[in-house]
Amino acid sequence: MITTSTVVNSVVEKLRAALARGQWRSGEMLPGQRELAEQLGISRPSLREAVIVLETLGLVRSMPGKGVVVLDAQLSDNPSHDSAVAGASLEDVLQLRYTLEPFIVGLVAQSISSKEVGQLRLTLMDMREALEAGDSEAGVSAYIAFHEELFTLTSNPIFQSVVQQTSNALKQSAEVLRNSPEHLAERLEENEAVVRAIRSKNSAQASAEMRRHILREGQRMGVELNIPEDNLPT
Amino acid sequence: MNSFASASHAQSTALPVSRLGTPTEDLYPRLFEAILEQRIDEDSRFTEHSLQAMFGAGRANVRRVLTQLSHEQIVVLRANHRPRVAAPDRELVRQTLHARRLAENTLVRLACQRPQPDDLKCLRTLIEREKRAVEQDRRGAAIRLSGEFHLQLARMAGNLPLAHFLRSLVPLTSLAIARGQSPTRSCCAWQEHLALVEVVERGDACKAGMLVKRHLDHLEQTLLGQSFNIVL
Repeated sequence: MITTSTVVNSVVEKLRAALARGQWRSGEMLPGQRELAEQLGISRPSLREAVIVLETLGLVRSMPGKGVVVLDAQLSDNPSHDSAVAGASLEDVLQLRYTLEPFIVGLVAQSISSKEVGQLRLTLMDMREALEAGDSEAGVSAYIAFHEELFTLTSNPIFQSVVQQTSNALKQSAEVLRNSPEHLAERLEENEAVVRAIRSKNSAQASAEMRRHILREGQRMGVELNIPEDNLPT
Repeated sequence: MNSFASASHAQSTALPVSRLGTPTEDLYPRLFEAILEQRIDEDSRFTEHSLQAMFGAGRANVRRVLTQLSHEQIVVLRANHRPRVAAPDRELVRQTLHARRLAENTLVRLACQRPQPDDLKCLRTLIEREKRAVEQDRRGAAIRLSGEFHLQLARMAGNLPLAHFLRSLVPLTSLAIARGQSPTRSCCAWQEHLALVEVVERGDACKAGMLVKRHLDHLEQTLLGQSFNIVL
């Protein structure tokens, strides 16, 4: 016979996983005791113990006479957004970038004004300064700023949600970026090639340079990038 | 017998029985379908409070669903304003479809790399439900389920941020379909979805990419009624 604590632990894990999956969101009530115990195939006393553990973990709160309410453990207004980033691997993010950014720079190349080219080049200058000063942290910031600037230049509201997401992911992977200051020079060079193509309004070239940059970025981070073949026909 | 039978007398127990399924998943399709069937449209005046009364839902629940619909660009939420239903213009629809082509081309190819029986079954169930909705002339449900098919396919790809991005695009397309005059079956036909599932099951990424592109081209033609020239 399994001891109670093993049962309770496994139930706690099951419920935690269900909460993490978003089966119940914050503010919602867990199903009734009898129903839930039945679903999990355990006794009600074991369920009550598991709920106490979850309560201690701050995931739920027991409201006497009402039930068990799920708490907002994500500390965010928009949990779906955060969890999308939190669950993302470097590979996911690079895949996402490879899917969207070549297209985005292609769009930018078609519509950019000379003033906007100037703005882009400023972020590149920040990167160069950081490189020369050996300040890898500033280099990472400038790289993220360059990335955000590109999205802003599309003036396409559709990409606004995704730029936030990829920027956050870049910030999270900043550790990886920062660990490789020797790569900053390469990164800068590749981004300069993107901007050169944008300046000469060559969409196809800009897309190709961005694809090359993201593939190289993957190699530098040691991520094997799973790119479905002929993904972006030109 | 039935553990729900006692729901109305359950106030005294510590853990009252909730309704079948999670409340959010219950309210979301009901509200979204009301919008798709234009029972609530961009001229409708509604508040969190009136939605609570209309759908018999709690405030937290209504808020959560409105937040989700605002991420999906279906509802516009602004501080100190009533929520309102979005009215996407042609340009936004066109841009949305561009973004969908990019995202779905990658997603469907990734889905082909690891099709799991459970996922395929889930896709087929969605197609069944979509087909039934079309037959019963439940237009809102048919359009919504058609979108859900694409989102389920995206989940199979295993790239969460990319699937999440698609989640911000598909419902908007559904809204555009709903606002158009075209009959449901000509927009996002379940037959096309079925063909797609078969190709994904075989793991034929190349064909799947092509089918998705054709599917979205078809959709663009129906929605915007003209050929398009996009340079990828």
